[in-house]
Amino acid sequence: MIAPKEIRKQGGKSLKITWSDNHPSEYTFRLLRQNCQCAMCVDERSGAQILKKEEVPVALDGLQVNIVGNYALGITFGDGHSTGIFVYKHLRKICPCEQCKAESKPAEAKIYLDKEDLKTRVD
Amino acid sequence: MPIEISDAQVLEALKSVQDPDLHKDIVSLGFIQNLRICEGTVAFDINLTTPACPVKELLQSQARDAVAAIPGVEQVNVTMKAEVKATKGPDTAALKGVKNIVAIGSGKGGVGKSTVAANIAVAFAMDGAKVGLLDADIYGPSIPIMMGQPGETLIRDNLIQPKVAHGIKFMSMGFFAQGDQPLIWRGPMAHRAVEQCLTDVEWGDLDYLFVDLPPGTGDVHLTLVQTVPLAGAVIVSTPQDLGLTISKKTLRMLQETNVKILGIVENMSYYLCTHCNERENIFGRGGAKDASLKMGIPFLGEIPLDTAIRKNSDGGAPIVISEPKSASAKIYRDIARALAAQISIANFNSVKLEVVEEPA
Repeated sequence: MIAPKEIRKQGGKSLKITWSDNHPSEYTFRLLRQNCQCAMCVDERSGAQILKKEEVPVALDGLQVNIVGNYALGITFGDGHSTGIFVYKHLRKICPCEQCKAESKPAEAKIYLDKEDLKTRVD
Repeated sequence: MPIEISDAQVLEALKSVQDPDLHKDIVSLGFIQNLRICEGTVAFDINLTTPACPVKELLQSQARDAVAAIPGVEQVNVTMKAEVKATKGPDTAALKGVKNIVAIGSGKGGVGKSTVAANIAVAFAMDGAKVGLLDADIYGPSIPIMMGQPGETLIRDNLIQPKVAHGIKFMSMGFFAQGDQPLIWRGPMAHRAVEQCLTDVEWGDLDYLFVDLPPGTGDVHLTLVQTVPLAGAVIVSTPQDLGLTISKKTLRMLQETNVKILGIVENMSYYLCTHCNERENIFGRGGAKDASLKMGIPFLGEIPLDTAIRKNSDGGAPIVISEPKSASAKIYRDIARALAAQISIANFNSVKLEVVEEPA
């Protein structure tokens, strides 16, 4: 299972993760907030997006990052939101680097898979 | 004139002794301490990663033989010690004295999870480890009866005092509702109770804290995997297909949350007839072993259906301590040692993870 080797919170702006396969990922806290999977942001049953991603402030800070068990991160954002559990598998999937973006391009099938994943997710 | 023996010579000889689980020699692993040489006598300690090491005797005799083979050595004194390494997870303020938290789970109820948990915990203590046992089964808390200590717990300085019996500390969900009273809780209550049992109980310094889970994949499991870094989990199953299929669900849930599966224990493996001593495989044979092989998970052992195990559990003293010479007690001791080895391996291979804060 994929897991981080190193987690660096770079001020309030971004989070850098080096994965067990040495792949580096760097996320802005805005991107993370937009991808929050908690029940307030994503409907638990249908998997439909509730949070309007474009309404997340452009400059949103991350206040605190803590490790949840062996499998996820908990993040407290500048807007006070802290209910999301960011599972490592999901974090890796949303890596914004060019290489990962290119790999996840065959969009249609992937999106459907995401929904299936959501139904079985464990937070 | 006796031959002069050097430290380097002794260490070189000891490098030939390998730890079969960690796949390294005992010198590189830092096990050798307190090396003293006085003329023909060589003395040293071997500091293992668990007192319940299954190869303790083997390492001791191999080390002794290796050093005795050095010219000039007349006597070798090997002292076996152990210092349990902690799970390298995030530091949580609570439970800071607890080195390893190990969950014991099953898919179905009634596979003997609590009996296995109680016997394994006591077996670890008999090998010299400091052990705690948390009975987190809100539906059927059975540890108080098995440990012979029902009744309420004491609270001191706002901390719940765990009970002590048979050499281990233990706490049970059963203490929240006495006698035949059930715990009728929705998720948030179960969550809070588990959290409280982990953080508001004065566990003190423990090498191992075993958590006896309820069956399935519910609130208690989620709280546990989200609240503490687990050293790993043990799955208890019966050999029959149905039990195994459902056990795999619990196993997959734990894997999904990155919990290392330390091994599978097969309970109620067979019945030894008390009259003719013939082995009767009531639930089929070797199911759990086959499944563990297929999934690449260590198989820790098979426990027979034995009236004595049941009687001792009901009587408030696990069989490992009440009938230590019985065949079933020996099986439990071996399983405990196999598990101790797996925990040491897991800790040896893991890296400590923390969030590093950098200025912007």
